[in-house]
Amino acid sequence: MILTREEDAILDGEKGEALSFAMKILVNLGDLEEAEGFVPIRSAHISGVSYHTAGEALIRFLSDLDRMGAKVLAPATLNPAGMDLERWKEIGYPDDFASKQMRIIELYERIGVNMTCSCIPYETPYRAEPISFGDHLSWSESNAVIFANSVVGARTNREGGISALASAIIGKTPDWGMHQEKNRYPTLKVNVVGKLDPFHFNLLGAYIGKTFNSEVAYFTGIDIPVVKADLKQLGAALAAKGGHPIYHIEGITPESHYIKNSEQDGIVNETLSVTPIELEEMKSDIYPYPADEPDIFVLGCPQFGISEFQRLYNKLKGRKLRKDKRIIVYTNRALQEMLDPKVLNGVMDAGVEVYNDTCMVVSPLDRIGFDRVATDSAKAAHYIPKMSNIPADLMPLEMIIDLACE
Amino acid sequence: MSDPYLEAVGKPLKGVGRHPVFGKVLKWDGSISFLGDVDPERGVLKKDGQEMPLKDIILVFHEGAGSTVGSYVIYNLRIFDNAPLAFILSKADAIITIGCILANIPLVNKIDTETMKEISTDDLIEVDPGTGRVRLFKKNR
Repeated sequence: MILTREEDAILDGEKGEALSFAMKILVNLGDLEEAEGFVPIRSAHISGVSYHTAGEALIRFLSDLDRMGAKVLAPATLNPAGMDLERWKEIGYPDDFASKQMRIIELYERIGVNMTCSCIPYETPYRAEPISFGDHLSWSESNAVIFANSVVGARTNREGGISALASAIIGKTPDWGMHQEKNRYPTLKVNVVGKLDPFHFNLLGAYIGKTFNSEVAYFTGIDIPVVKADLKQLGAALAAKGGHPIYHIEGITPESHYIKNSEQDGIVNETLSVTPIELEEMKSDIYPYPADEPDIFVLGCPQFGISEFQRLYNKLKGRKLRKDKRIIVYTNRALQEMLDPKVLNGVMDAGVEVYNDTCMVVSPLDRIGFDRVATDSAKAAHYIPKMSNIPADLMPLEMIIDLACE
Repeated sequence: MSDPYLEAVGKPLKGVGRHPVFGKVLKWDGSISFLGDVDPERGVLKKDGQEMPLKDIILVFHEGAGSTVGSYVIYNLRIFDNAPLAFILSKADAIITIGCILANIPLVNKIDTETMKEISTDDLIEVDPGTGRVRLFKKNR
C-alpha cells in the first residue's frame, strides 16, 4: 500500500500504541489484497462478540486494546452476544458463561462501540449510524455485509470482527474488492421461473451459494412484491452457504443496471434457470425432513425485523402454542423499540418467547439444555450443528406453526 | 554455519518481528484450518490422526482454510506459550495474517512453488522478518 504521511506516522506509533496496532492490521491486510490506499468509512459493524464463538482469546485481545487506550473514531455497532444480556438467568445460561460474556460487552463499551447487539444494523437506523447508497463501510457479519451491498448499495468487503474493529479505530478501510465498482458487476445470471413464496428465498440463496461459491449473482423473474424479510433471507443463505458479498435482482436492487456493464465486458460466466419445484427437491437433499418431531423452534436468523414480526403475528392469529412446544424468536432491543406493541404482545400472548441481544447461532444451545431444534432459516440450519453440536431441521414458517400450535 | 542450500524471498508482514529467527521445520503439504486442526492449549497440529508439536518450530504450509475464529486460535498459541517461531506460506489469507499480528509471529507469504517443494520437515530455516528472506539448510547435507 502507498501510505500518506499521516498514515505512516500512525503506523510508526506517533499517535499512540492503539492506533499503531490497528493500522498495522489494516496495512498488512491491504498489502495482502494489493490495495493501493485507504477509503474513509461511515460506520463499522463488529462480529466476534459471543464468548461461545471467540472464547478467552477475545477477552485478552480486547483487554490489550483497552490498556492501549483504544477508542473508535467511526460509529461502530456490535453483533449479537451469546445470551440475552438482561434475562440470561431465567433462560438458563450458566453463571460462568454469563460473567465472561458480560466482561466482553463491558470491554467493547469502553472502546466506544454501540451496545445494541444486532446482526441487522441496517434495520435499526435510529440506534446505529444510518447507511445509504455509495457509503463505504467496514462491516463483518456476512448477512449484514450482503444486505448493505446488495439492497442499500453501500460498499463493504466481508470483514472479520478484528479488521472491522481496526477500521473503526482508524476510520478507514483498505480500498479493494467491493469498494471498487468493477468488482460489483454480475458474473452469473439466474432466471427464476415461477412464483416464490418466502421460504423459497432461503432455498434459492442456499442453492446458488452452495453451487456457485464466489460469483456475483443477478436474479431475474422475481417480480412479486418482495419484503425486506425475503431479501434478508436470500442474502443470509447466499453468504452462509457460499462466500458471496453481493447479489442483484432485476428491477429491485439499486445496482441491478450493472448487468449492462457485465454484458459489455463479457464477464457473465454462466446463465441458468431455476423453478420453485427444483428448489424444494433440492431442500430434501440438503435438509432432509426430521425423523423425530422437534419440540423447540427457533426463529430470527438474521434477527427478526418488523416484517418478520408482522408475518408471524398474521399467521398466529388466534392460535396458541401447545404445552410441550416452544417457539423462540431472536431480535434486538433497538428493533423492539420500533415495533408496534400490539404485534409484539400478540405474538407473546400466543406463547412465543422473545429474546434480545443474541441469536440461535452464537448462543450455546447445548449448554441451556436444547438437544434438537427446527428453524425456518437456511443459515441457522447450516451453522447450529457446527456451533452447538445439535441437529437443526429446516422447514417453512407455516409448518413450524402447525407443529407447534394447538 | 555452512552456506544455505537455497535462498528465497517472500513477502513479510509489516511490523511483526525484528530479528531473524532460526529453527527446525514442520512442513504440511496442504491447507490448515486453525479452528479444528490446531489445539492451542496442547500446542499441536492434528492431521491424519497424527499430532505434531508447534512450539518454537518454523511452520511451513500452503494456505489457510476455515472459520475466521482461526485468528484467535493462532493468538491462543501465544497465550498458552506454544507459538511457532515463524510461518512460511505460499498463499496467506486475512485469518492467518491477523492471527500472526495478534500473536506477534513473523510470517513470510508468497514463497514460490519450487522453494516450497524443496522444504521438508526437520530441515533448518532462517527467516528474516524484515526483508522476507528465507534461508534453507537441508537436514541431510
